[in-house]
Amino acid sequence: MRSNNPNATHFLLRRNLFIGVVVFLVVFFTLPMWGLSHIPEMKKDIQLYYPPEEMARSFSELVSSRAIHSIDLETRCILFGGLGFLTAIMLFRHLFSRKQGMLHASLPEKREKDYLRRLLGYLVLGLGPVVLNYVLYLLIVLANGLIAYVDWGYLLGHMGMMLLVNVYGFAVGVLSSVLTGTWWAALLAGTVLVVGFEGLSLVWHTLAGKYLHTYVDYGYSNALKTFSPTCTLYKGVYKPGEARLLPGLISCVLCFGAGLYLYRIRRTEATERTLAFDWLHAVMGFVLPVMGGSLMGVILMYSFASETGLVLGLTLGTLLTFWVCRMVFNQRFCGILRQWYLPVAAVIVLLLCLGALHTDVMGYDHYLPQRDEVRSITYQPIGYRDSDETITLSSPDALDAAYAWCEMMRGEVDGMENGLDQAYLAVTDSCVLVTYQLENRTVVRRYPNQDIRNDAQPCLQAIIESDDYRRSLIADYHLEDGSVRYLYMNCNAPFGERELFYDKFGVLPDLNLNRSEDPQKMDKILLALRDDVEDRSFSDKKKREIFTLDLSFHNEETGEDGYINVPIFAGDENVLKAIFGNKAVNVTDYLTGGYAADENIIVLQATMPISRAELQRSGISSFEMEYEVTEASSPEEAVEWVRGAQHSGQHRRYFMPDYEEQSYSYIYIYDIERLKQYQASGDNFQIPEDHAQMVNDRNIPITTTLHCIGK
Amino acid sequence: MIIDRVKKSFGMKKAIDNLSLRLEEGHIFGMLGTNGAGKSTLLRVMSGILEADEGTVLLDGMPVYENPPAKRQICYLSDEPAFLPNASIAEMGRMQAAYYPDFDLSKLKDLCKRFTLPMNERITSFSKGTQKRAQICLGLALNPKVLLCDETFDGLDPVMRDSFKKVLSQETIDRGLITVLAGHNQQEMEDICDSVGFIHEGKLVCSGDLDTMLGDVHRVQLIPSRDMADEDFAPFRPLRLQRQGKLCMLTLRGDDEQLSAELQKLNPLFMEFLPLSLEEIFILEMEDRGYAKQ
Repeated sequence: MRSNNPNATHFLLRRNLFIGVVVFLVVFFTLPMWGLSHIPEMKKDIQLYYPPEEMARSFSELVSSRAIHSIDLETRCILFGGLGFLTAIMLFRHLFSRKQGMLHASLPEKREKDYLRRLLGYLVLGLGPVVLNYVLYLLIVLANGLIAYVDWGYLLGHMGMMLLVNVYGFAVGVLSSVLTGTWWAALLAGTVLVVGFEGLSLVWHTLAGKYLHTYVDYGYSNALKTFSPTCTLYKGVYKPGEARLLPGLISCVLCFGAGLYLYRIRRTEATERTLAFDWLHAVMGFVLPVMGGSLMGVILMYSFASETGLVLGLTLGTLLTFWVCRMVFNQRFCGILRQWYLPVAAVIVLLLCLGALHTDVMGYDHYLPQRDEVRSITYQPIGYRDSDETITLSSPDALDAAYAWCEMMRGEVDGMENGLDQAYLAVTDSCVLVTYQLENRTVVRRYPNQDIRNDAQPCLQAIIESDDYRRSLIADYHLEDGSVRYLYMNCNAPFGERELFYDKFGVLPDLNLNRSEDPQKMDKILLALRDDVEDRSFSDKKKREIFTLDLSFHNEETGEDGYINVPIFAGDENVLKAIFGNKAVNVTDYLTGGYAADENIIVLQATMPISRAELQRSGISSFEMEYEVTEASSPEEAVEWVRGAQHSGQHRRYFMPDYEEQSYSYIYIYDIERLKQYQASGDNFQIPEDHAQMVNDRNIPITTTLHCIGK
Repeated sequence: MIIDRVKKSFGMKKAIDNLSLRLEEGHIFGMLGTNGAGKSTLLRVMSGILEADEGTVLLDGMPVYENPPAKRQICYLSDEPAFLPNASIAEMGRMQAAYYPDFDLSKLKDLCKRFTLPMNERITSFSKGTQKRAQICLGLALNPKVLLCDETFDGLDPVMRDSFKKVLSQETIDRGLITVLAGHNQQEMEDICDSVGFIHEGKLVCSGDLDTMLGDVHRVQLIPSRDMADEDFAPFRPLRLQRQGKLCMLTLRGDDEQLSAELQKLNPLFMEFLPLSLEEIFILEMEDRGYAKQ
């Protein structure tokens, strides 16, 4: 009796049926099980407690979104990717056992055919159970009478992304299995393939940020979001509508292609060896030490807070990783010094890269595109009080001014010393992020903008008074698109307490508006604000803001939510009038310094004999300095002083001049009522006859401190 | 089957070094070798499991490696029987049926019955000897043209060994099966092999028809009529010379009649030709090549 030669694929599927069962069960407990246990109960709740108009949306959310989100994003990615990876390991497990490897190699079959059969096995045993679970879930939804509420685009988008993550995990698993000869080495290889290069780039991105003065953090995350298959898939699972499928798909195709090629040429005797190909020893002997060295370098850099720690970490980490890898690959201690030149080469490469960063050999910081190449400049202050501004300038005059400003900022960077700490200290506090839009590409830099602000005043005036700037600001503030939903107003003046304000002016210094409740008032204020923004001069902006509007917006079309702070200056007459009506003039007068005329207010001026920069260089505390203190002789003088001063936080605006080279004064404002309360608290304090003495007592409650330029 | 100048190395170690061999239909070839001589590697290269670094292995003119039509006709019985995890003989039979069109299920059943093997029990639960029996039955059920046995009979009891030898002989006669037996049991080789080859350090140091090989080396017991020094025997190029009083024991290569005539010229008081076993010939050959020579 001759055998009827049953299909080898059928045999493979039968032998590996357990994989399909495991995959089915795992996915079953994450999706259909959730449907079975939650949908009927939640459906009842919605029917009982939700208003009819909310019911359809709630049903849709229940069956389309909640089931998918029953486990969190990271767990979902790891689960589906991991299932794919493990399916690959199981389907190619003969590569990890010498006996099984021999048995399979003796079979009369071309390797490519065997490979494709195993891929087919994955379609049936790896993807099949997942799809089956999806169908099962939809049947559960159907059985509950909610199929009409399914948001197919959302649900299928998520399901599709999860399948793609599974395929990606499988593809990486296949390549890892073919490259290695033991399951744990395959696991290690999978980890390196999935996150190794992302991790390495993160480390060097961190280092670049520490060394290069103008290096921009966003570049790294943008690159990952654009090119990394792992990151794009992760983001795709988060928001399938914005998924970039290409890196993931290309990566899968590459893994399958490389897997097939290597499976064909892989020697049978490679089973149970850590690495299946001899050339991998050289590659891994270089790549893994580079990764390990870079990681240890950053760890020691943070531990020792010095460049020495970094260099030490790079060197030791590279050598250690090489020797550990060598031991692991050889599965013995002997022979770890073989191919010693690989870690040496890795150390040299790492140190050369570090040297390139240290010296900025590529001229990254100095680079500025040619003026005629630049189509527009977008800047955003970071770490300033104006961090909500994202301004795009493209008209010739504004662009000229912006370019000149950027040249100055670049000049400031040119004057900085290279090295780890210098770059770190220079730009971690505050900086200006500049995006140069060229013909076909963008160049992004960050500039410290510290020492050049005096010289840059004409440029900044031209920028801030340009139409481009105003249009950008109106767009930033969402003043024209109708997307502002809530508006809160806060008073920034030192004497703006609610009760006092109401007693004085009959209005409150704050406001809380909801568009759905009072759309007319909201539109009126936003329109007035737009008019003010269009009219603001540079000198208006340099004054202290007296109010802040917090605007919450929601864009229906893009689904974008946000929150923005809008400073209101004394010159913003339209918006102040829209809010305070005919009281606006009095309110403005009071908040800009009129309060200093009150008989309960004491205004003292302490003038330093040297400039702040000199003081800083001397290393002496301002408290130890001998300064001249005068008290305002009249309410008019007090008001004059206050109006001529800045708020202590005013220098935190990117366009304000840097006054550090000039002598300066502090204005101390005391509220007698508060002083009396302090006196009553029993802290051995008596309000002195000579008020000037109070400046020396640092415990006295000062209502506010202002800065003056010169005396 | 033609093995032509095959080379195979594992890293720096040469396992097979420029080895050539030709096997004819209906022939049982015994392969003897020292430990690590390259016997198993050669069988794996011949079965298409391992790829030769250089040279070719051809079956009916077809290369064996990565060539399913050729591999379907070859069965390799490894020294460590390999089965699918947790598989029974029936399950292994199903796998073989999927890959080998000539697989004969009824033959497998017959062989299992004859060698008292349960078809549906997990093979891993079998003893080592029973696993070997299962391996042989599965191999024979493929009806291969070439059967490569790597120390296959080791671990079998004498009764089973004898039964399998009979089956092998029958298959060889009935359908011209080519069998290669690799191992260390020279007696077994003498029993069933038509020809043998000695492998040492990856090279085939000698091979040929078993009878010819056995007839080519002789041990002669001789009492010379006068005192003779070792140098006096030099013209006979003895493979080995031992003395026990006046009795000299010479191991010589060549035609026995010609040797007898030459030795008679020494007027020996006593001379007797004794037969040599394959094992003794193997030891002589290996010692001649410096293997384990004290």
